[in-house]
Amino acid sequence: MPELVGLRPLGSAANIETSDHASDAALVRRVAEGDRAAFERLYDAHRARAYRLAYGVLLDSEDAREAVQEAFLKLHAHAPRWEPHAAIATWLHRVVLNHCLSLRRRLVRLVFSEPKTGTHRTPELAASLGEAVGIVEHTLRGLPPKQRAILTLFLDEELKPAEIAPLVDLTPNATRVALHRSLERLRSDLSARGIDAAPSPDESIALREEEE
Amino acid sequence: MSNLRDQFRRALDERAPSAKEAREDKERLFRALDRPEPSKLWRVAPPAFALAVAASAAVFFLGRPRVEPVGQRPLAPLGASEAGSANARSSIEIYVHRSGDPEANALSVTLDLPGVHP
Repeated sequence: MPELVGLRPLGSAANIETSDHASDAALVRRVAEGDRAAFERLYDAHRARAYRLAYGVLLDSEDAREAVQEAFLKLHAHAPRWEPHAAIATWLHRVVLNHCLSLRRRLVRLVFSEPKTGTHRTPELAASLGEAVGIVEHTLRGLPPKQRAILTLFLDEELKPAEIAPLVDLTPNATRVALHRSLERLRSDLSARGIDAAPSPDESIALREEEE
Repeated sequence: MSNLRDQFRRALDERAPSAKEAREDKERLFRALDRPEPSKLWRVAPPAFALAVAASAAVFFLGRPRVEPVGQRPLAPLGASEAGSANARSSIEIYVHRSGDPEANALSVTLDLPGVHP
């Protein structure tokens, strides 16, 4: 169970859906008092991001939706004990990741292989469809779950490696190395199909921190 | 020219649940919140929770099949009168299984002693 105490808001994360930390905290207080509308607003504000993270790790729509449900049920249950300084997004990331990684471990133990292959696309098929989407998915499928999480948190959530590290239980340097490898692999797969994939503006900065 | 982040986000957006699925998810979530849970009852009404636990325990223990003696009578030696029963050494213990069902509580005992015919 993720700890509620001690989580600090992330100052640098420029998330797609902007959710004000103070208003989130106010909503959680209202949720603790039984306000359903407040919970619905929190859900609407954070659901999509939580889903993208879950999908980035699990690569299965149904499992990702289930992970999001679990995370929000936990959020509701923990609302009365919420620490005002804890960032909802960070907490949700942690809960979603824990659920996804433990689910992956359970599935791997059960079938001793990739749990879902139904939506698998080869790069050839993806390219024939003219989509980078399939290539991104194909690359993600070739990565271990933690690297998928790192890549998703960096590219989608725009977290820095140092912020991702505690979420995936790695050191900042190990996170940077994993991120560097994942980015290179993704870029290489896309380039091989003639799809442009210029570095994101913060990519080189994030990776350079490794040497500092 | 799109960068790696754009490509990545596009891939994830492509797999986002449809509006219908999102609506179903939200309904499912709120249904799950409405489901009564013992832990919720404990937070909302501790006496009610304690009462529920005590009632569950009572049902468990009282409803459990028990075997207990319900009667004991000295057995007179064969051929002896009632008066001589005080010297008897043997006895019969009758056990009854109490299930709470009146029909099941009806007791019937048949003694089958070799050489003795009713």
